[in-house]
Amino acid sequence: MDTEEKSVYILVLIGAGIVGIILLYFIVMIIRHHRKTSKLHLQQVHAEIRSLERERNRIATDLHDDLGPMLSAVRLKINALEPASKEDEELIATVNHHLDDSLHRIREIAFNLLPSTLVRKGFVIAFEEFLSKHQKHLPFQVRFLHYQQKELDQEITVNMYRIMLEILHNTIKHAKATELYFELNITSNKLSFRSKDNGIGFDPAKMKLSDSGLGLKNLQSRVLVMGGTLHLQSSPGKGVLCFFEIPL
Amino acid sequence: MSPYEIAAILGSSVAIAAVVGLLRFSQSKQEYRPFLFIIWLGLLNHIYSLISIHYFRTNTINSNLYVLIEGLLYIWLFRSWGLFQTRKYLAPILIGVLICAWVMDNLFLHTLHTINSGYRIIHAFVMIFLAIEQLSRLITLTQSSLFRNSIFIICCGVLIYFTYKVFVEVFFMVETNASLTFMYNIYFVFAYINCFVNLLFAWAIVWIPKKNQSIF
Repeated sequence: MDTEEKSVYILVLIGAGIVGIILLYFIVMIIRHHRKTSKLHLQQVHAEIRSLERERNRIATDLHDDLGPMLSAVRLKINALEPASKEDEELIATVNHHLDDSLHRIREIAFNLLPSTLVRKGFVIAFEEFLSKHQKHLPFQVRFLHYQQKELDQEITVNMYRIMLEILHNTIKHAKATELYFELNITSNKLSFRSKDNGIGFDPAKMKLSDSGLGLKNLQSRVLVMGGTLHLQSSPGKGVLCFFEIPL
Repeated sequence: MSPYEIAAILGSSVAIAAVVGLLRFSQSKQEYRPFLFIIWLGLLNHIYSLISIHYFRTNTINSNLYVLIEGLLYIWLFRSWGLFQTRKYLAPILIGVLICAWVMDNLFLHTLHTINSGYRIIHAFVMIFLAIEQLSRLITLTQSSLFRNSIFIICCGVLIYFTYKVFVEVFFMVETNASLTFMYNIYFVFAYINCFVNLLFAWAIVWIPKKNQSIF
């Protein structure tokens, strides 16, 4: 290379360096923008879940503490009536029966919205209670293996309970399974969860493309706000395996 | 060592990505397969180029064919990542553009026996455009770390490689009275970029998600 070519070559190298710096800046900006977007998304999901739980809590409390006692008071008043005829007596009995049904249903709805056991004793006992209540109505056998070394905070407790119910409902609705396993391991620093059914499974690629799967998105959001990543493995005819880990 | 030998060694770094790809092929998701084909094709072209230069002092024919197949494989790759999902017409248009440009540049304007930069520049611009599109989609759709996201790493590699490719090819296209040493030195800079991108691609292959690993 002669002197002129050398100076052109140096200019080319400077140009290449500038292009490199611009590319690097572009990539760094993408990463920064992604972090910001992820953070905002997480905050949004967090806020949505919190307001949903708050609303559920409020409705459950209103039903349990407001409507329940009101209906009980109505029943007491009705029972205090002195029937004038046989028909009146039958009418009171029917109304009593309806009121009992309504009270029972209110308690059930309030329990489903936010079981008192969940708040008092944690989600493991609350879920076991749920299973013992509903096992006979389920079309499959549920096994729940758990090991708990540490108590969980309220938010994780509620999220875990909702996740397990969501999986249970999804399995009832879609899986056509005969068995569903839940495995839970809570150590001092992490929570590991795994569920597996022996149902018909699904094609993950199709599920990803379709707009359905709101339940799965809810699962993902709840795992995300707890600081984990949800993994779902499935293929047609091979059931669904769901697992995640949450740092504690 | 001569600049050619150094460039040949640096170019051989594609073998690392090819071996990692071979080890991960059976486990990797279907939509990443075109990328592994690109890497293997790159290795094949590199080996063939070394043999061809050794015996015939030229590698123009295989290089000209390689850039066409590489371009089509990249479009297949971006298509399988779902980039053309909302604009399905774009993939056939881009394939048409690449084939037309290649035919014009290699069969009408020049011959297969010369290094034809016209097609290479168009090809590089298409790849840069697709990589940026894919990156912008990724920012909004992915919540997990980008450093372990093979689509992100591949797109960064594509962006770096093809930006420098345009940079270098412009020198080859604009006919100057520059000496051969000067042109060699220009190409030499690109050899280092090529090596860096090959290593980046090997890293990307390591992070290709396993089949049925997760739908999220």
